This record gives sequence, C-alpha cells and structure tokens, in this order.
Amino acid sequence: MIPPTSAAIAQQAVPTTAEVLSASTAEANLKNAAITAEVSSTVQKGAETLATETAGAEKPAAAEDANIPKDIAGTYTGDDEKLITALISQFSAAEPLTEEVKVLISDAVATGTRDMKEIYKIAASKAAPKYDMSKRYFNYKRLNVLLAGILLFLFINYYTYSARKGKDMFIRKIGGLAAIDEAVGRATEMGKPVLFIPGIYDMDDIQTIAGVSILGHVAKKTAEYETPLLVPCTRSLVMSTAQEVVKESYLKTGRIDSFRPENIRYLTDDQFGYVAGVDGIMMREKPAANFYLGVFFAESLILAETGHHVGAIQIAGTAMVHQIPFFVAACDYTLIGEELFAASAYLSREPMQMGALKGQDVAKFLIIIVIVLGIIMETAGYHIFANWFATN
Amino acid sequence: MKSFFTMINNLDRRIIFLAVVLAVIIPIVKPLDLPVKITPNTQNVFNEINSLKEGDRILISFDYDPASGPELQPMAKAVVRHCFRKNLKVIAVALWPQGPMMAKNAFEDLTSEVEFKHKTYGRDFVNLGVKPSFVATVKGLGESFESVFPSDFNGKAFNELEIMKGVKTYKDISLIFSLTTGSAGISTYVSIANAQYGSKVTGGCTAISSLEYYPFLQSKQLLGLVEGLKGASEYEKLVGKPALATAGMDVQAVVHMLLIGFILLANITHLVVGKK
Amino acid sequence: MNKLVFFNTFLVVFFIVAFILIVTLGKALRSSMFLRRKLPLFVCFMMGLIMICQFFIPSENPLYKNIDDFSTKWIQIITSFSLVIGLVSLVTINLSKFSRGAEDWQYSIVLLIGFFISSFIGLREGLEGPNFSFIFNYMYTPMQSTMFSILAFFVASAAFRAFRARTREATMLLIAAVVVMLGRVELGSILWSYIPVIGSIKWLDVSFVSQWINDVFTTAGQRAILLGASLGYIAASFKILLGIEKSYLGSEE
Repeated sequence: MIPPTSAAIAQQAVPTTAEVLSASTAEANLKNAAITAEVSSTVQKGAETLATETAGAEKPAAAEDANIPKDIAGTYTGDDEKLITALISQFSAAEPLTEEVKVLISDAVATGTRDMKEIYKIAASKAAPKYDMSKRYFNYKRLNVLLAGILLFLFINYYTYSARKGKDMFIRKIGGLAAIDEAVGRATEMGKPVLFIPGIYDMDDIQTIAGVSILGHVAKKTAEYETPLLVPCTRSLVMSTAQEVVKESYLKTGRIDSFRPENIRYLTDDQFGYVAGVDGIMMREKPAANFYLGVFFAESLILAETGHHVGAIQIAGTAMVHQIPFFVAACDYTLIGEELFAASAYLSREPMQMGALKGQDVAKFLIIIVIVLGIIMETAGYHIFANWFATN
Repeated sequence: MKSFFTMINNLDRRIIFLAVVLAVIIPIVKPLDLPVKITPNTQNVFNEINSLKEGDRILISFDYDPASGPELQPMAKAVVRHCFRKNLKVIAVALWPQGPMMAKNAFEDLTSEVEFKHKTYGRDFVNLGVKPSFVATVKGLGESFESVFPSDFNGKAFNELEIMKGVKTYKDISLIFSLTTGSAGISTYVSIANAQYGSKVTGGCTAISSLEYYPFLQSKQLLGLVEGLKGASEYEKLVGKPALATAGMDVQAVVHMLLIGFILLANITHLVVGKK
Repeated sequence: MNKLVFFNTFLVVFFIVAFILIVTLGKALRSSMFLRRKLPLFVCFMMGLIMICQFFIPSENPLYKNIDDFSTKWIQIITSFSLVIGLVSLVTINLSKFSRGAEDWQYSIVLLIGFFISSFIGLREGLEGPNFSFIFNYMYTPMQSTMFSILAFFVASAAFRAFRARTREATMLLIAAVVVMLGRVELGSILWSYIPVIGSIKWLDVSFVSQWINDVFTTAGQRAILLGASLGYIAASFKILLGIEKSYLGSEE
C-alpha cells in the first residue's frame, strides 16, 4: 500500500502531483531535470556509503502496514535496473502504477539516492493520488466541497419543511425593505412616479433575479396606489421578464387597466449609454422614489447622485462589494449583499423562501464557528484543519 | 458667521463641480512633479515580468473598455513596454468585446516609437481578439489555444503565426497579466487558470476594484497587482518612462486634497449649523 | 477580400432570417406551455446537474474533458445567439418607437443611424479598417471616457453631502476615507509628515496606515460580504436548479 502523502513533502513539492502525472512520458522526461533537482534538495541522502546487499532489499516482500514496508530499509548497492524493477514490482503489488510514476521512481534512483525508504517516500509522494485517477469518477480531494454542499442543501430542506408545517420563522427588520411602502406612499402623495432599476446584468445573474422578484412586490404597491412605475432596462430579456412580472402584479391587484407596458422599456446594452438614458428619465420625470436593486458597477454613484438631485427617496441593494460604499453614502437605505437575496423571503413570507433563508443563516453560523476554530488551530500551529478546507 | 456656514451647507453642487474642474485643469497646465513611491504590489508584478527570460511568452488579457481606458491604457502600455524591452513574446487576448481594439491601440502606440520599430506583428506580439463567454474562453485556453482562437484578430490562421508555434495551453505561457475593470478578468484567471491549471497570474485593475483582489494577493493566488492610476504611474517609473499616468497623478493628488477640504468644510458646517 | 465580402453578406442574410424566425417562432412559443415551462426547467436541471458532477470528477478522467468541451462549446454558441437576440431587440424596439412616434423617438433615430453606419463600416472594412478605427478612437472612446469621468464630479458632491460626522459609524467612515485618500497620493505623505509627532514616525506614514486599513479592515469586510453573498448565490442556485425559482422564465400567462 502506497503510504499517504506526508504533509511536509506535499507542501514542499512543486510542481503539483496532478501536473506531473498528467504530463506525457516525453514531457516527464523533460521535467526530469527539474524534478531531480527538487528531489535532491528535499531528500536527505540515506547511507552515504555502499553497504552490503540485504536479502530483504532484493526480494520484494509484502508490506506489513500501510506505511513504508519494513524490509525496504537500509541501502541497496546492486544494479540500478534491478533496483528499479524490484521497486516497481514492490509498488505494483499494492497499486497499479502509471508510466509516469515509474519514471519518477527511476528519477529518484538516478539522483544517486540509495536509501530505499527515501526512494519509496519520494515516489509515493509524487504518486499522491493513491489511485489511477483516470479511471476514477470521484475526486476524493473535493470531498470537503461535497459535504459542505450537502450540508447546506439539508439545512435549506429542513427549514423549508418546517416553514411549510407552519413553524414561525423570525427575520430581523431590514430597513431598506421596510421602507418600500414608505417610498411608494411618498411618491403617491407627491403625484410623481416610482423608478425601479433592476441592475445592468441579464437574467442569468442571481442579483437580477432577486431584483426582479422585488419589482413584483413594488409593482403590487404601485398598482394599489395607482402610482406610475418606470422600469428602464438594459437587457431585452430583463425587459420582457419585468413586463410580465409587473403585469402579473397588476392582475393580482385587480388593476390591470392601470398597467402601462411602455413604462417598462429597453434602453441600450451599453453601460454608460444606459446611465445617460436613465439620468435623462430622472431629470424629466422627477421620480419621488428610486429603487436600485441588482448588479451595478461604476454607474451606481451617477444614478444615486442624480436621484438625490431630483429629490427622490432612494433604496439601493447590491452584492457588488465595491459599489456598496457609494450606495451607502448616497442613498437613504441600502441592502448589503445577501439582504438583497433575503428580500424576496422578507416580502413574500413564502415557506420555501423563508426556509432557504433560515438554512443559509444556519450555514453562516457554522462558517463562523469554523473560522474561529481555524484561527485557533492555525495560531497553535496545527494546519490540518485549515488544509482540509482547501479546494484541490 | 452662522449665515456663512448656512450658505455653505446649502451650497449649489455646480460650485463643487467648478472647483473640481479647476483642480483638474491647473495641475495639467502647471505640473507639480510629485515624487512617485513604489508600492509592494506593483513591485511584485514588475519582478515577476523581470524574472522572465528572453523569448518567454506572456499572455496579456485586455479586459476593459474605453471607459476605463484613462486608467488602464497607460498601465497596459507600461507593461507592454517592459515586455518588449525584455524581448518577451506578447500574446494579447480579450474577455471584453472592446478589448482587442484597446490592445491594437497599445501595440500601435508602442511600435510607432523608434525603440520598438523592429517589433513585428506575428513574431514578437499578436492580438488574438475576443470570443464570447469569458468563462468558456479562459477554460478553453487551458485545453487548447488553437481551438479557442483558430485565427487572430485580423483573421490570420493560428498555425501561420510564428509566435504561436508550440503554444498549446497555459503550460506554454510563462505568465498571465490581466488588465481588468469589472467582473471578467483577474478573478476568472485566478479561479480557472491558476486554480485549475497552475498558471502564474498577475493583474492590473482600476483603483475602485483593487480591494476585491486583496484576498487573492494574500493567498498568493495572485502574485502582484497594479492598482489604478497610481499603480500605472509606479510602473511607468519602474520602466523609466513617465507618461500619462504620472501626469495624471498630479491631478489625482490635487483632487484628493480638494475632496478632503470639502469633507472638512462640510463637517465644520455641520458642527456650526447643527444637525439637519 | 472576396471571402470577406461573401462572409459579410452571409451574416446580413443570416440576421434577416434569424429575425423572421424569431418573430414567427415567438408566436408558437407563447402558446406552448411545454416549450415555455417544462422544457426550459428540464434543460436547466440537467445542465446544472452535469456541471455539478463535473466538478467532482477527476480532471484525468476523459469524461471530465468531454463535459468540459461540450459545455464550453455550447456556452459559446448560446452566448453568440444571445448577442443576436440583443441586436435584433435593439433594432425592433427603436424602429417601433420611431414608427409609433413614441416619446423621445428622436433618440431612437440617432441610435439607429449610429448602429447601422458603424455596423456597415465594420462589416465592410473589418475591425482594422481606417474608418472603423476612426469611429472607435474618436467617437466611441471619448464618449465612454467622458461618461466614466463624470463620476469624479459626483464623488465630490457625494463626499460633501454624505461624509458628515452624524453618528459614530459615520465618523469612523469619514476618518477612514480621509486617511485612505491621503495615503493614495504622494502629496498626502508630504502633508502628513508635517503633523507633529505622528508625522515623524516612519512606520506611521499615511501610505502605510492607508494600506493597513485596506489590507485588514476593508479586506475583512469584503470577505464577510462575499461569504454572505456567496451563500445567497448558492441557495438561489439550488432553487433555480430545482425549478423552485421560476421568475427568469417570466409569468405563466
């Protein structure tokens, strides 16, 4: 049995095992010089002088434990070829070896190392994937990701099930979302429209989907109060989806006659062309409430400042970390990061949405515990915990 | 006194805009020649490119549009200048549709200089252009450059390009340098080219998005980062050719001081006039 | 040159045919619930499942490469088609605005003229052509740069308006903003050196302090937001894959 990779060797070795093993034999030969140099730098040469052959070293013997076989000990003074053949047959008895690993064994021997333990360790560490991965269907090094994904999935399912059963789930007050009613009410009182911008990305982005789902809620309010709702879009797919979502909201409120599809328009795909267009709409229509919910880049401050100039109450929400400060500085309310994703659960109170949100929160709590544990372990010098979380 | 601060509190923003205009124009007309201090992140990028040998291939990804041109184009030119001086083979790709034109402009500007007149397209540098879907492009380059870019930006076949001979995947590229302004770029190369193929990645970005890449710098997935106009001016100093970025830093310095002045004035006003 | 003309002619004919197909198929799509609901959900689920499985397959396994090639090619094809859809939408919507005499129809005219002229020149000359380069370098680039530059003015007015020490958090934000702005320019270091006591301590230079704020506080905050947003992304992705979140398909009407 080829021993597990020792942490020290694995951390020292560059290039990675995957790189070396995936190289063809011809390329592996070209890499011999580099590998040989590394091997010689990491290997402590075994016995310096030639010792007498031992019977055990010549004959391949079965390993008694998972680590280095006991009879691979001392040094070997015989022919290189015999040694390589003996080693290969020794290793092959445990696991099938690829051609590359055989080359690696030859390389290790070629460095002049005669300490069998060292040769075995080097070859084993280079053959870190214990199996011939080309025939495997599961990369065990990504087990950590699979476990994390399954855990999150279970949490979400459990809490969704609980929510469906009628269990009450608490969501803390999110200022920006609680202010939606206030903002729409203000627009109605002033007789001015509401402006909603669902970001500048297409429907394939989760933030845009979150923004459009909030649009449905805002549209219900504007339908109730008969306030005009303007939704300039930067993607045609977003425009069609927005039209259908708003229309559905107006239908559910029984105000389909107030629905104006021409208010939900497509401007342009170009980022700054879109911003110029929206600024123009703001200066002409003078909306009393502006919603910026989705993906934004450099245009965030341009929109927010223009909105402030026309006197609108502004509610923004994005997960773009470098635009959040601009929104925080320029808008009245800002939904930061996942508060945007929590919005649809917060507004609709649907069991599915609430369960997903609760599941995420539990996962976050677990992550906090893991981070604290990781800090303690790393400070104490135990890397195994942090290493387990690395994605290979 | 209070009426003065009340007036300041209600200052028309056009006066602020006018002040910014003056703060921009004056340092251009009368340069301040401020010194440029090199930061470690920029130095790391310089060192990485400097460590390459003559004939090594560097992949420069032009992942920005003309809107970010004032910040990133001087950076691009400084880096390409460094590569040309080291006689590296420069392969330009783009993840943004406008990227190839930015690359074309950078190469044209440099090859018009006497120092680089001998640089030949197809032998010393090439512009492969852009393909749809940046994730698919970056992933595809890890498997086969030729399948992603069967021809260059001008339509010349891959196997007719001397510079691309022997270039199959990232393994044949010594370093990647991505000039990024938005979502596609550095993070894509780090998460795919570095994480999955082990390539060395460096980058340059606008100042606003530089903080997004600090976690990659700290985990050594990104080997260096040229940050914004300041980074570009540092790189120009390192290559010994101060240009547009260095001139722009004078403007940035004055505007920063103006902004700080406004902030202080606003806070004094807030104290005197009271909470509003 | 003949090949270029032939290819460009083919592109124009292709776009016209694609436009007609989209208009006619659109009517069929609207009336079929299978095409509008069940098929997209099934495709979404299957492709999501395949891509998740691919993540856990070792890269040495040929199946990994097969899935990779397959998905990469299809993503590129579909993205190319979505570009076509975007172009067709742009033209039809603006033509419709012009023909109906809708509000701001004049801007539609400008857009359409610019679109057709630059497309025509680009297709005719290629992207290296002198006229296309002229449009790009002397019209498109300055307009884009100008719009981005407007940010400088808005940052100034936002800073004047918003960076006031109203609360403890606002004060901390204000101090951090001032320190970082000073640290990003050399003039800041020069001015900082005049501050008594602090200015003379080398390791307290404003550029180091500014970098420290970025390295420690800002990066920590960004990581936290990123962690939370990523969990939100994962949960939303689960819902989309399982067909729970269907808003991207539009309404059922």
